[in-house]
Amino acid sequence: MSEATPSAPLRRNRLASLSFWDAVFALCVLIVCVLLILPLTKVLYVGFLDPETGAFTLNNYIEVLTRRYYVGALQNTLLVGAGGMLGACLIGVPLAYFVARYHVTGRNLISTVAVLALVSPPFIGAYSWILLLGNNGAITRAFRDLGVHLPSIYGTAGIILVFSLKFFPFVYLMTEGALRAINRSYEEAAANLGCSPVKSFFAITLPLVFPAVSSGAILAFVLSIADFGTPAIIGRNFRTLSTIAYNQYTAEMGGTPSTAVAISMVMIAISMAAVFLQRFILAKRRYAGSFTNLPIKKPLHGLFGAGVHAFCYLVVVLAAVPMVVVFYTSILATNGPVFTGEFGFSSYARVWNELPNVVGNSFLFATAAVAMITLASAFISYLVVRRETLAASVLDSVLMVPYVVPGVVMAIGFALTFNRAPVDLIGTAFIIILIVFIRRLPYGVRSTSSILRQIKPSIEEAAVNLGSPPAKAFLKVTVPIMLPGIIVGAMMSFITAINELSSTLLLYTGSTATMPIKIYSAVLDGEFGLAAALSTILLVSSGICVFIVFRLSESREGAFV
Amino acid sequence: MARVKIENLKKSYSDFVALKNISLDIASGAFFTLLGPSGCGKTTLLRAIAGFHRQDSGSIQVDGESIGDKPAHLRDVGMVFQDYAVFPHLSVFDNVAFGLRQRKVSSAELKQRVGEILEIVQLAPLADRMPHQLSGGQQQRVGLARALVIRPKVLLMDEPLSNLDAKLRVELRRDIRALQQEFGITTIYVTHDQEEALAISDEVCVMYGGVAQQVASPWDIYSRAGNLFVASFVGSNNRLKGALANGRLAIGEQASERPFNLPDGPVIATIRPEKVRLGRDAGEDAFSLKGTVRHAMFIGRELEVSIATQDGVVDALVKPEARAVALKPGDPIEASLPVADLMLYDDAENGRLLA
Repeated sequence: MSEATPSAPLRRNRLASLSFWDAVFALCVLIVCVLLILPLTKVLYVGFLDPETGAFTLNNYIEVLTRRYYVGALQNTLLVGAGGMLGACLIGVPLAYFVARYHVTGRNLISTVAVLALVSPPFIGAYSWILLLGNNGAITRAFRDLGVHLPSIYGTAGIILVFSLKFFPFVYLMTEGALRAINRSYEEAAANLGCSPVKSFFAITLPLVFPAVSSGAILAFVLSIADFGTPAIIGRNFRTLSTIAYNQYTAEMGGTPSTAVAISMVMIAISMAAVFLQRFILAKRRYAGSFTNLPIKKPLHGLFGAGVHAFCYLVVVLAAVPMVVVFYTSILATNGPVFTGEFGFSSYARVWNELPNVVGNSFLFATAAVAMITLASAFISYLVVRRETLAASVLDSVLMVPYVVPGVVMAIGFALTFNRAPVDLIGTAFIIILIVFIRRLPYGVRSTSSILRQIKPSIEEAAVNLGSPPAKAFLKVTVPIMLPGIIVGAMMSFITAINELSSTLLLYTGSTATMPIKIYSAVLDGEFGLAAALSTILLVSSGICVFIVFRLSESREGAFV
Repeated sequence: MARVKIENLKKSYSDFVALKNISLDIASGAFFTLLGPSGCGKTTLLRAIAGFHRQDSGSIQVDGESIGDKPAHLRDVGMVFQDYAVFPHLSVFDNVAFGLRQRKVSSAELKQRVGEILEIVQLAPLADRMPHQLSGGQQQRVGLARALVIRPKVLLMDEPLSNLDAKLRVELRRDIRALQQEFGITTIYVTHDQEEALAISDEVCVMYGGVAQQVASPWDIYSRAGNLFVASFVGSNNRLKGALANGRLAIGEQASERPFNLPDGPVIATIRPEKVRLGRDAGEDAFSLKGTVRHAMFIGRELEVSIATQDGVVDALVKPEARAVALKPGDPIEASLPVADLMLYDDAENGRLLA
């Protein structure tokens, strides 16, 4: 037999694989260019335009970086970002250590509450704490009756409190995972060389989990500085970059939003600096986790045991406060915005009667975005994981961008890009779906990629070897194996999609309002009952998704970070 | 230099007894090896000495001082770990210096001592490297240097070579033995590799089921295995059913010429494969078993011949001479078992050595 004959069908196969995956790749690149790079370039570009004349200028940036109003907001942003990060670490690291290394009673409760806190709507923390510790809050009044005046919850302290309690789960979940994967021998070697347990924690254990701690911390920092709802609600006159970017944008509405854009770029710069700093730190310290010889949990006794449990349960209670308050408030009877003092479902009745379209929108938009995310994630992660080309890894890196771009900024980019024919999407449902899609796509890609990495390529190669075309092999063999992971990814995307506020707030119109938007305006209007009922609906939806993830995912809470 | 004395040490995990009443007396400066299959309790014993878990009862003494109740970090017994446990975030120098820093050694002395020990383990040029830049063998040298530099009274080694490839293992075990002799440090070494245990030790303790089966020199362990477990675990061995009748040993139809001063009854006879000969030697007091070749394998220095006889399978290890190499499965053959090389054991689950 000649050599050319058997290779002919093979070559055709390779050609087919080339054309199919290249088409997919081209489509992915197109999506990323139009939905990510174009809007952000637009934002960058507009920042250099004079709002009056449209001429090139550096004035916007000079103004943002020199005028007290902006500089103050910048300082505030860094302050609450650092504060939120520090608070998250101070809660998350000890909690992780206790849960990972000791037999803490109720470990599952702790991680479940941590995950629920993570997926709860972004600003319910802010207004729940106002309901408790605000000027007219329940706890404030109780103490006032006793003659004690509590310090004000409004402003820096309140924001940092809310951020710490909202973002500690990132630090906790990441650190706990890392602590459980440390080879036991390291700590034993330290003890054997004369190191006391406390010293060994700081000399050995903490440095070894530092990559995980810093990942959680940076996430807390980036999300803190990007958060819009919390400072807007609990900040009073406390300005951060995301609140002034939003205000500036709404003030500049109709004109060129040059200042809002300049502020946005500053926010992106901070986030990126944080991420690069972390990458720089991590580059030097990568320690492989261990799969054998893992640490054994120790039993807790006496005073130390009581102290550990007290700490863990205090964290659980504080983290659960917003959820409990929201639910409790939602079942208080109201008459308009006023609570009557009895229990009742009038808030839910109002949602049912006045806002059915808002609830419908939320579910519709989130479902649509998630469907797109899931589909795109499956293909993109295949490209990134299986076809380790330079182009694919560039695509992977570009998909990091949405992590560091605050929602407000992304929304401004969308508003600038899709505002005139042929793609005038302003005011449509489509623009809301698209922005949620692109903002949450990286999370989907990341979770799908990690599953795909666990599936050996040889499985798919076997299918191709047995005569299945590559595309079919992927769909018939790889996808079914990935399915549980894909569902987990979809559930997580759904949670973030249905809770999205910071980007949609800039893009919605009356008919495309969603639950988070309505909650935000209800809180500002003092309609706490209505806000609570909507928040409870969001919370329950997120909770159901969490339940599904727990059932399908091997690592349970590990899936959320 | 320190004598280690372990008395009546017991340890169990819920329903599993890991150590049943272990008593050992290890001479100062000895290289003492705990040898046994996985799950035999050897690592549990070592870790009890290191203080990583508490014994249920019994005492551990080093130089007459009881250390059984001390926390691990105050015991002053150096340990080398199976998985190296070289701190991944510290350089070679800082790894080795770690124990000295805990002991608040002055920085000048610290530098000098770390420098010296790195010189000894041939890692001086790599002092500034990070662990991930080292090979497995180099990492284990760091582990060794780190344990030796604190000048512990006792050195514990938990299968330190098991993660290395065969050639490196032999090289490093020579180095370990040389270092141990140079420092004169009492060393307790855990391994499941019998060749390693025989090669390196002054004394070997074979463990099985949480019990010390035999404590003896490597030569005695091999040539006078104390019971059937030791006989079959250390080196390979042939087992044959036999009986003592009228002071003679009988296997099958044959009886020994040589008398045995033992009571009559069934026994288990063992013989090392290298003592088995092919063919019959006239005039020697030997059992001659007729059989056929099951397989013959040439393994380099020797030829392994497995023979099926009426009294069971007999494996022989012989010189690879032309006649022997030509053997094929099914060939008729005779195996000769010299009576002088037979060891007799009680016919029981783990029978004791009789003679």
